[in-house]
This record gives sequence, structure tokens and C-alpha cells, in this order.
Amino acid sequence: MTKMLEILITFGLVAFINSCDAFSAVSPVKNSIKGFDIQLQPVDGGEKITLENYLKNDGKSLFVFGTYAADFNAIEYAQRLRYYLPILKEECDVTKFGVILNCQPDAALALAELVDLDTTKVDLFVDNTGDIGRKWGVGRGWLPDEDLNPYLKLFGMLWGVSRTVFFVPVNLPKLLICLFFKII
Amino acid sequence: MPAVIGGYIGNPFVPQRWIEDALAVGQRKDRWPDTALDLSEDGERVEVNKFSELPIVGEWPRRPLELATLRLQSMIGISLKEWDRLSPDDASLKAGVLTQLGGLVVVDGSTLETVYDWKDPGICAIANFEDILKKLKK
Repeated sequence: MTKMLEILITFGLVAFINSCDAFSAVSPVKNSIKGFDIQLQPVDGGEKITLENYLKNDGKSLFVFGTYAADFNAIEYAQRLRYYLPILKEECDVTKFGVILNCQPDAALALAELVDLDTTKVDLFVDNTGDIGRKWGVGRGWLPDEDLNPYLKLFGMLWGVSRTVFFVPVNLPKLLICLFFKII
Repeated sequence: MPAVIGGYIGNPFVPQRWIEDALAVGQRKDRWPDTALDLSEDGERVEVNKFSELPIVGEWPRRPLELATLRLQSMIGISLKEWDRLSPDDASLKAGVLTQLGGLVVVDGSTLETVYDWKDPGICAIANFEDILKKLKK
């Protein structure tokens, strides 16, 4: 009986921990890409195209605002897209897939090769300085405007420090509870 | 940190089917750890996922340590090993891309109305494609 209770509590805790995305509260609501003056540079050096024109399509279009090529988030976006692309196409009528990476073309192509992402099915774009992501409103991480060593900032972020943590007063109790359970 | 810790404890309810596929790609490319899966001789099929043999948690749709193992594989075999090919250059570093996060948007191609969007709130906390599937299938 005690063992059973232990298992139930463990399951409950794990379910709780995994269901409360501590940071989901700060994910912004839907914003439109319409009207954004964003020019995409194809990885092959071809002519630039506006994001709006690129996304125009008979079905749905999916576009990933990636990070730099060695980054975990960029790697995982590529890995996930590789797996889900045919499912999204088949079951959800997503017929166009684009990814922009904050790097030089060689690095973007190298990442695609390392994760076996089929570049005949995914359009790759590059933006070495990350301007496009910032225009769209991606997070800029910890202390984005401070003149600190970027690797030091990254180290802080690896420990969960993020600007978003300090700007969610409405959801702070939920955030603290979630962090508490995640830490124990 | 929450997204990272989630990779260690798994999830008894919500699957993340891409993990096994990414682990298989890593193994095919000789990235360590390379013992999580038994692949067929041609390397195309996963015959056994060793995480599914764990007691009790082996039946979870996302087993403890499975995602953490993939991330270890990606860190060693991609981020670190291929750092010279993949790392940001000076202009990129100066612009702040090292800490910049990403996101994802799905739009209706004819109206350009946003159907789904996500902005990463932290490292490893990227869009959940299982959620995207659920949302788009409605």
C-alpha cells in the first residue's frame, strides 16, 4: 500500500512538473507576420525574398526563426522538423517549410547535413547577425544590452537565468511553484 | 533549466516521437552515446529502443533520460565536435546571437493569418511539435 502510494505520488509529481511549463506564461500571444519588413537571404546566395512573399502558399507554411548553428535550440528545431515534416505535410496540410539560422551559409548547410535535414524539402535562409529574429520579436536572452562577455551571459542562461523570469509578475507564484518542484 | 530537467525525468503522458529518430540519426553518424538503440543492419530501422526496457518507466511515451541522452549526443557530437564549422563568427557574436533565442510560426498560406506561433523562452525550450500537430489538426 505504501509502495503504491509512493508510485502514485511520484507519477503525480512528474505529471505536475511536466505539465507546468514554467515559462509558458511569458510566451507572447499570436502576432501577425503581416507588415513585417523582413527580407530573407536564401542559403544558396540566391535573390532575397520578403517573408510575406515566401510564406504565400496554397496550404499552410511553417517557418522557424532559428538561432546560431551550434546552438541547442537550432539543433533541436532541425531534429524535430526532420521527424515531423512528413506528418505535418500529410495530416495538417503544411506544404512549405522554411528555417532561418543566425550564421553563415556554410554553417547552416553543415547543421542540415549533421542532422540529416532534407534541404530539398526545407528552405534554408541565413541571417548572420540575427536581425530578422529580433524584428519578429524573439527573446534576446539574459541582459541583452549589457556590455558583458557573451559567453558569460550564455553561462547564466544555462542555469535558467533569463530576462523573462523577472518580468512575469502575474504568473510569479506559478513560476516559483514550478521551479521549486523542478529543483527538488 | 526546466526544459533541460524535463529531459532527465521524462513524461508518462506526453510523447515526443522525434527523440528516437534523432537518436538513430546520431548513432548512424557514429555520435556517442551510441548504445541507446539497436538499429537494423542497414541502419534504417530501430529494432530496439533500450529505454523501453527500463522497469516501470519503460512504458512511458517519453522515458526518463531519453531526451537527456540525445542532448548529450548532440552536445558532444554536434555542438562541441563541430564547433569550428558551426560557431558564430565575430560579427555574429557582436550582434548578440550567442544568447538570442528563436521561435516558430505557422501561417495560412493564402491569408497569412497566424495559425500557431511560439517564441522560445529559454535554452532547449523550443516549440513542441506534438502541440503543433494537435493545434493544426483541429
